[in-house]
Amino acid sequence: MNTGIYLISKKSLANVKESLTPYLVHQELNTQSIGIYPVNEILAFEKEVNGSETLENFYDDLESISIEELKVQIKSSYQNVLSEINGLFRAFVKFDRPESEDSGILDCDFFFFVSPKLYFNIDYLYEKTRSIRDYFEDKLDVNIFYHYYIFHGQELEEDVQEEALEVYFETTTNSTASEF
Amino acid sequence: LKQRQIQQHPNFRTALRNEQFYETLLSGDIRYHYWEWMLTALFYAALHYMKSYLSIIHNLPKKRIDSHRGIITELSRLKKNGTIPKFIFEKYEQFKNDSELARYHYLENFPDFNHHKFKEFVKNSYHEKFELIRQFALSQLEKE
Repeated sequence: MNTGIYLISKKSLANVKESLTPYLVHQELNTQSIGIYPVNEILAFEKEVNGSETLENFYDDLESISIEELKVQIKSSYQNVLSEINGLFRAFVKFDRPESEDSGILDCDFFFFVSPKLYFNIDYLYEKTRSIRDYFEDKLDVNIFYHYYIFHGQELEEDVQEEALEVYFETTTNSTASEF
Repeated sequence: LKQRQIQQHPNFRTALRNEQFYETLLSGDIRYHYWEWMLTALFYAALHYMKSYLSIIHNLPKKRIDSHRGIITELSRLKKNGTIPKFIFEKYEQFKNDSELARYHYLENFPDFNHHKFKEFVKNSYHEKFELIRQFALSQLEKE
């Protein structure tokens, strides 16, 4: 089970590097990288520094760090494309753990607030974001779900849950009434 | 025998009934007056065809597909492993979204239920979307 190949949290990486330099093969952490580390030594060090006492705690920590990196990648990738879509006013994303273990590593619910014109041509939004969605779903086993609404200046609390993060805000929002 | 079991499956029978309801609304004098219920009937027919498919072909237990979230999560999983074509998943996701807007949020966006925009939208695009989903489910069930 213990193969010695694991991701390591950024939080501990600096300390671990300093103390275990002779054992480590360094590699910068991102969602694609996996370093080779002496896990038992790292576990002992984690316990001393951070109080993690179990392997599960350690893995939870590692997992949460890499998932956080993944969320940042998803947000920034979408931000780049969303700014090119006419008729998109605001967008939010909410991240969750999937309900079952065989359903991927992360659930991402996107909430798009769009003009009526874009609403009735929503395939355009799907086409513009398809390559990003495919990448995160097919390569990284993320689940991405789209929800879209017509934006008419409404308060968004009812449609977007509190924990959702804003990923796009159109600063030159025009009245949507003219599109009817 | 297998085909008979499919015909008797609760989700398959519900899909057929919802489809019949849509046809009844379509053939009546008040055609498209209650377009939001035509859209809803079609969406639920599509939903039950997909539940039949998930249940019969993939042996998924009820508890995994007893909510909208459960169904779309399973469809997403099957899309990712290449079992379901991406365009079928997208049409289903759009269908779910539009039927929710019609039932819950329509009047927040349009002045009355007779606004031509959404009515035309339902008339022009939804039966086609439904047929794509239905044909996919049936083609998979026929292979069984």
